[in-house]
Amino acid sequence: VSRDVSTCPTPEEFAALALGDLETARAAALEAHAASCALCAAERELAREFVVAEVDRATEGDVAHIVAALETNLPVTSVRRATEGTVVAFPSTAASPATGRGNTVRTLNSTWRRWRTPLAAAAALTLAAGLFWQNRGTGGLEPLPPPQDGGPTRSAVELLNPVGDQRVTAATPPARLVFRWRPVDGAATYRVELSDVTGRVLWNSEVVSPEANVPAALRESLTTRVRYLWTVTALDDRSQPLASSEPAAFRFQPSEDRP
Amino acid sequence: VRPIDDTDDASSAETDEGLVERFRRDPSSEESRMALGQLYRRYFEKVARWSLRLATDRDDATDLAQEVFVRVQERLHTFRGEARFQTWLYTVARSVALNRADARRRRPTEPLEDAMLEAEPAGEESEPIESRLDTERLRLALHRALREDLEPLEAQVLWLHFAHGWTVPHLSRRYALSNKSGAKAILVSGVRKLRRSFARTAGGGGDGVGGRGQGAPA
Repeated sequence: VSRDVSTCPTPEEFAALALGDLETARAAALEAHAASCALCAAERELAREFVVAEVDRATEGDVAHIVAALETNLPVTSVRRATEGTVVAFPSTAASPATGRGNTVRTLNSTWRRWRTPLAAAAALTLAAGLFWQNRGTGGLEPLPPPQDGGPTRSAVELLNPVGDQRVTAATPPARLVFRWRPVDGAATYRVELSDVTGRVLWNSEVVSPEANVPAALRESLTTRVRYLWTVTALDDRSQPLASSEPAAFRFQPSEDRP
Repeated sequence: VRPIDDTDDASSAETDEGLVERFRRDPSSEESRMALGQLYRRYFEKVARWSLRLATDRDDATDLAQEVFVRVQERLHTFRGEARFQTWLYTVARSVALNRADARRRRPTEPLEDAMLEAEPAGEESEPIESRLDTERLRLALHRALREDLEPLEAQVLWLHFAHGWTVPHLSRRYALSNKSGAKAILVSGVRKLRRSFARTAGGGGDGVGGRGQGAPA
């Protein structure tokens, strides 16, 4: 029923078969082999699944979600959106080689769009991408490093909470959600903004203290297992940007989910 | 930085291989990044759909899809253009999925485990056989077991599930297994036969692949 493993075609050949790239004789040989080798029949199916990528209506919403995440999270593809000012790149815990820590601050008087632009420098982008993906792990969002001290920062906003996976006991968001960040010297107010991964702003607010309580209606509209991004901009007494944070990501993970 | 646009960019008619070539000319340039972004976007949906068939849920599929493109970025310099880019992309995606399935196979809490343990006679060891096999050994073991114990369908289902991570629901759909437990019944019976095959191999002085006491390969 099976043949010697060493005679089996390679995965590349099965992909080429699925793409119709093989000459007739070679394609026939592969089909004949798969007919007598169960594991190669499986490999043929595997390659075909990839190449054909049949649309399954039941999962199209999930496909759209994944594509949106790829658009946002992959640095190469996030360039377009960043320059349009519609979406921010997914925060990286290794995206700030200059500071050596992720999600720290780097803004002064730039606008939201302008602070993102420097990342367009290709070398930095490639480096950040590599570092990000190598260090991101597979278990979920990386939390921020713990704050080093309790004092105010001078030219940046450091987001404290929520960041990364937030465990919840039920399959719903928690009963209370408060955004907290480190205070900034000279800030008169802070503008907080929450968005989804596609860049759609869900909520914003301007507050005096370095925390913002999310309204119940908004909190209840949030979905577990979905990533959200939030940012804070510190404003001076003329409502001019004084400093802002990089976006932080968080999501609510029901405790029954595996880590 | 000019925005990348899939619809009116002249490169939309460019081949995948042409985009790779454009990227390679000067990887640090904006033009290169645009080419790479365009190339990636062509395959986002395909990789997303494929990942969903292998993953336990949407988040898992998202991680897998992202991992594929990260690996593509890391390995793009190895693409020689001897085959289509899509062929090469498939081998990268397959490799990422194999590694993930390999890691998952060694975790102690596989969904199938309960069913397998229930199916095992008392006194059998509790560690699932496939968790002690790396991909290549699993492949060899399945080839050997096919000669005497496994049905071709069982081998295919075992291979796609344990080596490549296809989920039970997807296997059930793909192979039109309409019975109540779908592919799970085939997996359970296949594992039992595989275990029997191992016992015979170990008793007969074979190479001991997966035999009791051999432990997991490094």
